[in-house]
Amino acid sequence: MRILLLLALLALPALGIERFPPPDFSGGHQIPETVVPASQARTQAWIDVAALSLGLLLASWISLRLRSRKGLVILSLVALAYFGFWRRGCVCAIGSVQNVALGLADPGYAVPLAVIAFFSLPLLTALIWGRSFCAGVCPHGAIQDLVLVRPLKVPHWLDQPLRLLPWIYLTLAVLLAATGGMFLICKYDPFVGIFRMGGPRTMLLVGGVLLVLSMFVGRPYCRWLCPYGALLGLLSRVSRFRPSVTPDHCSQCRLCENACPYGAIHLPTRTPTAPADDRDARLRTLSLLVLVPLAAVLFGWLGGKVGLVSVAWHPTGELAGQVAMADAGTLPEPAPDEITAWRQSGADRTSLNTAVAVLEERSLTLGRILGAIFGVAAALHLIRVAFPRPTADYETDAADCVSCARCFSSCPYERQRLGLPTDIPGGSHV
Amino acid sequence: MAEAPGMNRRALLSGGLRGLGLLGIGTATGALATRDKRDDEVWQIDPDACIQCGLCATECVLEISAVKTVHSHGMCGYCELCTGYFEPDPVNLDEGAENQLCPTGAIERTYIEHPYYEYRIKPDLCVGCGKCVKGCNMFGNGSLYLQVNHDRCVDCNRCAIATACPAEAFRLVPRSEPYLLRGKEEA
Amino acid sequence: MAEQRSEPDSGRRRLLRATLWGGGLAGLGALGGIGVKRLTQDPPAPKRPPLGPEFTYDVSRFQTSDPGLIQWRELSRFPSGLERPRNLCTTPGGHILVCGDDGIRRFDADGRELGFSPIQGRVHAVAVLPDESLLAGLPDQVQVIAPDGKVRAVWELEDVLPTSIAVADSRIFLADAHARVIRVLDLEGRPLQTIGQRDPDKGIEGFVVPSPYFCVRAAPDGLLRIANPGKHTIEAWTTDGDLELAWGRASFAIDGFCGCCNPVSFALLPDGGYVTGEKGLPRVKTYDECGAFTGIVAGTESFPEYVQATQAGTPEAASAGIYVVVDAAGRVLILDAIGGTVRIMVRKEDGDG
Repeated sequence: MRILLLLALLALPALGIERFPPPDFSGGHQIPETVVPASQARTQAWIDVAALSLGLLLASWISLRLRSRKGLVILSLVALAYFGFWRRGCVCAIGSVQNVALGLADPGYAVPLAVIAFFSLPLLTALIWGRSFCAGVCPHGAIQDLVLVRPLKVPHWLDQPLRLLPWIYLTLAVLLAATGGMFLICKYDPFVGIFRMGGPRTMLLVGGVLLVLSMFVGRPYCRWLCPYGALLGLLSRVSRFRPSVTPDHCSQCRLCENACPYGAIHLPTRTPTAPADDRDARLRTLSLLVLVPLAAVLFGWLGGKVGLVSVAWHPTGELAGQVAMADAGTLPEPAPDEITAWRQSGADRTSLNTAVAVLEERSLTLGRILGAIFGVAAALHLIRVAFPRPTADYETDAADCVSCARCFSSCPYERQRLGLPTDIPGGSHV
Repeated sequence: MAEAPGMNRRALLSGGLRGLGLLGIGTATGALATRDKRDDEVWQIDPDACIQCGLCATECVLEISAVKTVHSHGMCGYCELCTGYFEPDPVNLDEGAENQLCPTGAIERTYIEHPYYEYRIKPDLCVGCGKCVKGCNMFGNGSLYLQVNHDRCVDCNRCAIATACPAEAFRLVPRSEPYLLRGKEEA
Repeated sequence: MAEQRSEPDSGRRRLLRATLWGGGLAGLGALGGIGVKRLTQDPPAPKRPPLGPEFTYDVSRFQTSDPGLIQWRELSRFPSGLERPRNLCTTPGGHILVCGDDGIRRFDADGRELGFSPIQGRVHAVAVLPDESLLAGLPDQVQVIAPDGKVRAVWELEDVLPTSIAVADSRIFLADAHARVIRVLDLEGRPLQTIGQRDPDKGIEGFVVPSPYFCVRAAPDGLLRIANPGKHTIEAWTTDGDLELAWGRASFAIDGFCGCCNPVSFALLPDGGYVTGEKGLPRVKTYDECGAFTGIVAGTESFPEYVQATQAGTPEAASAGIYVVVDAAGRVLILDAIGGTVRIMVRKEDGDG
């Protein structure tokens, strides 16, 4: 049996295009070689990784030590030019999530080392210095940040629930990537069309709309869509260092209250002297105990449903759907190319059905797991929003702050540090 | 000062979580990076699986697709009436635009000797629609076929055309051998 | 806003909290529900390239033929039983031989299988010698198979691709698609001469054979008929190598030969006319002895598997022929290399064949 199989494999080339000589030219015409352009060198990937590392270090240093908005603007411009327009938005950290998901789920898929670096380096940076990647390295962040001319304040009640969208996006993207379906983030990226100065019309349209929106609303993609931003936010919640509005201490002058276009400055929720509210703490604990498991179960169930539905987005699932429609006679004419190619490949129905069954099982399990994780994340987010940790000072939000350095100059102590004219209210510095 | 225990607890928790995060990223990175090195791979079309659906021209992230027609001259019949060059039932067998099949005029036809003509692809004009490939495959030897041109391909994480390809003709191939050429054993 | 925030436990703040909770969760639930609903309802829409029609190779207008021109009907068909059939012929005894990649299969006139001669390699052509031995044309060799099925001789021929073999007057005419000439051999396989060698001094343009399809037949008038597919003609040559006449024109229209190189196969009818087989647009048609189109035996629409394969542009389709022969009863036998079947066609008016 095995030998037969081997013979069949050996016979395969003969089934394809057969060797047949071109004409003999009496004039001695030479038959040209097949021309194919040479491949780009692999060194590019390592230049990219080096640029990324340098960018992360610089952005962290500028935002935390130098505290210079001007420096970050220059770095953003460079990053936008290099990672955006020169490298055309590929390789990118946002999309790398999918490669990593697929790599972890499918042992046969080897993630390119550069992509691994693009996935892990910004996350490591976030653990130490917060979201410096967003501040000065990410071209998606840069393009929105740089066009922001008249920031409108998005109310807290709208901004915070919307910040759950990246988690939904991330969950779906990981689900589809890990089952080998498609790379959702790459397919619907709003800005690569702009970086590449062309692309599908819808891509360009969405990019254009988001860009116009970014002129009045701070970083709409980063805050309410970016799936990688969700991960960065999560990790920067426990970062070792993070930017603070004031270089030394807060005198509650409220000058920075409107300085953040991204709604990432916490207003004090209690006066420094008032005791912590016990009732809030109790409610907080209670909801943690009740809501988190509830959300995990609820969204785990929902995730399973979404997982099953997502099979239809998978090429195999899509093909199976079309085959079923063709059997029922409801397939619109002309028949889709998938059907033509499938029929032509000689694959049989049983193997297709088996593949779909396997896929459904995997998607269901993965959907449940991811849904439960999403449920926990969503519940924690809502609890944190509803029962904010009592703060006495004006502070940057650990997760939401993208280290853009905009707020620093509004702080009178910062101005004093820089030797700029200042008017410290109450003159009460310690 | 009354807050000190709370603050310490928080700092401890934060540090612990940070360590956990580091561990997680490190494990994932390590597991992926130490895997069997099939690192240097690029996207390519298997010409035998390609069905010339036309999506290569529209699905590439580049405005003008990185996929273009390639010609294996060694397999070409050098026909006077090339079905990859002429419209079905051309008015005349000449280079008139009404006779040419390629909508962008990306094929160059030169006279060699009676009755043979050579056909060359002008990559600058080719948009990768595969119309000529279909004509050549349907009637001729299949010496015209589509390939990802690696001077233009931007090496997307996940090739957008591969995602859309109905025939699943896209494969990852070693960067050192980035083309799947037909009739190579003859060259 | 700031004033309210400095009073941590105001009623409005509680309200805000409740709204946030409820709104956020309800919104999420609704989003999920709508998403699930929509996704389960929407049937997968077939993807079509948003390219204009000028970017699509379209020969559909040539793929249906005028029913009024179809003068033949299918009596029956039978599977060739070969993985990859490549040619066929009839024997003086009325049998049908089909050759291909596994060997040669023998059928009776109704398509019942009688025997199988396995041969290693691609058998491109098959013919019968006067002594009932079979000739099998393979790349670079011809095998002679005795009536008992044993290989009697193997004639090694360097750089020869025999795609068609005719036997007449104790001579063998081998259509060599590699050198694009007709090789004349005696019955022992000794080369006698070549016909159609390109010779500009004598004004012989030679045969244009861009793909491995090159068909030769011996006619009762003592001349050879040879397809010149690159020129879309059928030519009459003397057995001494002189071109007597040629007919045929290139056209996708029904009376012409389509594509770059057709006909790939033809046969002579008892009335002196021709049956032709074309690839690309698979179609079998008849012409009178002067080369005027007379009718259709089988139109493109009667080869659905073949059309589907060419639409999909598979490499198999690029090298698959439509082969024709005429048997002693005047029936037309068609071998469709993709469908893998042999059809027996008879004229519509004398259906009893």
